[in-house]
Amino acid sequence: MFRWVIPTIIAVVAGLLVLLGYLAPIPIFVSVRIVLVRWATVLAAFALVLAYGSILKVHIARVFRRRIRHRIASLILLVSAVITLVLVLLQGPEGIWVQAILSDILIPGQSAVLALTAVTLLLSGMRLFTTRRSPMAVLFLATALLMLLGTIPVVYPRTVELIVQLVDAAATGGMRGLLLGVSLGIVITGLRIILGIDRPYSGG
Amino acid sequence: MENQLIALGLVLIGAFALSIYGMRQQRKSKRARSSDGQDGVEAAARAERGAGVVPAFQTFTAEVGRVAEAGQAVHVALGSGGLLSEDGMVSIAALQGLAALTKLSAAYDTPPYLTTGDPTLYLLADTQLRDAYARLGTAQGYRPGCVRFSAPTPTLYAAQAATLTLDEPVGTHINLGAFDQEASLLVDAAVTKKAKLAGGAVSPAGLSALYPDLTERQLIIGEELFAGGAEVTDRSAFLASLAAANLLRWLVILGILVAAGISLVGPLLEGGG
Repeated sequence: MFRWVIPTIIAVVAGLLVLLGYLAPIPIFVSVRIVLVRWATVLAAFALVLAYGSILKVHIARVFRRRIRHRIASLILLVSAVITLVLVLLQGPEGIWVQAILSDILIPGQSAVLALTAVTLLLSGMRLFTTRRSPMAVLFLATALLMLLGTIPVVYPRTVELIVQLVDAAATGGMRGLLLGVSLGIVITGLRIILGIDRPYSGG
Repeated sequence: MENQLIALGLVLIGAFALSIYGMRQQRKSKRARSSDGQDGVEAAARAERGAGVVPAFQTFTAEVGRVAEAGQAVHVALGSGGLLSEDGMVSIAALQGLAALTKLSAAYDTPPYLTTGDPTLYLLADTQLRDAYARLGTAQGYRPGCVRFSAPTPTLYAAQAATLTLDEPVGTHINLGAFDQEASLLVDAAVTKKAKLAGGAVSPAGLSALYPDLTERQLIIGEELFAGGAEVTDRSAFLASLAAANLLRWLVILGILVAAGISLVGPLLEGGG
């Protein structure tokens, strides 16, 4: 009963109300949707507390485990996680030190890691023909190169420009087809949950 | 307003189709069960959808046995699609595609490392693995440290999860869920570790990061990810949802053709009039 009947009823009713709030243009449904989404955000905050605990648990275990690589990295992560939490509790999320951590450490660090993906993507492009030796692999590489050419601000001969535009149109069409299929999958998965057929929240 | 009504219409048709196909599928399963036993049900279900449409899902369970023999583990990177974000359903579909893997891992007591970049997804993944142990009656054997929340942003999550692949004895790396180009960091770590790769993504950026290193049999492209439940569990609800998705797809194609026809013919008629 408590394991799945009550959670299923709550999930089905809440799901239907939120869906109606988005799709049916009736003010009462819109207000209910806003309230329910706000409650969900509060619940997600509790999930964040549990997830924070998971990070601490995993890295404390790593620091005290012998013969493990990068123990010092785990220690740095633990210290910074605790310091950041203490600062947020003392100053709030808008505090000077908290904002300094965000703008001077987190954002530049994240940008640096994102820049690294350019290198890893290039490396995986170089490995392409070791995994796939097919016309599709050649087409993939040619499309990627043409799209890259298209982003360089240079005046190309008319023929090259035309080829780039053609490939651009084909690639955009393919991407839209992919996203349409994914959207339908999302609709059906959501419907399964709203109708109570799927219960990922209770392991069923 | 007009778009909202079209979406509502699609949702209602989807719900109706899901119910009808679901009932039909259940009747079929009952009939097959009464005549052939459980094997007959699975055979009928497989025949219905055409088995091995997405072979990558079948390789997941094979990997559990392979890494268990080698004394290694599977690392499943679930991405950063949280339940409150637009990628929530992608993450849920990814977890359903992993149902057989988590079940088998629990049976062998070789739990996979499940990493997530979102707290709500972390709770779902934890529930799924814990439940797999509980169903076998070995709930006390569950090790919570196997499901890990790595970091709250996609890039930092990928960097953290990549270090797990490098640091732990990972023999197979599976990327399944909501990823963009940061997936290349995870793939690169798996290639460096010489781990076997499999998985898929739904975004073009995520797929372009996976495509060069995964073969056709290892890669799950876009909407194929939503077929995971049907591929690994044979539950009639999943099979019905594949049929409902197909019906919706044809309706969308019809809608696109009608809209294109109207936009083509409309100005001609106006000009003629």
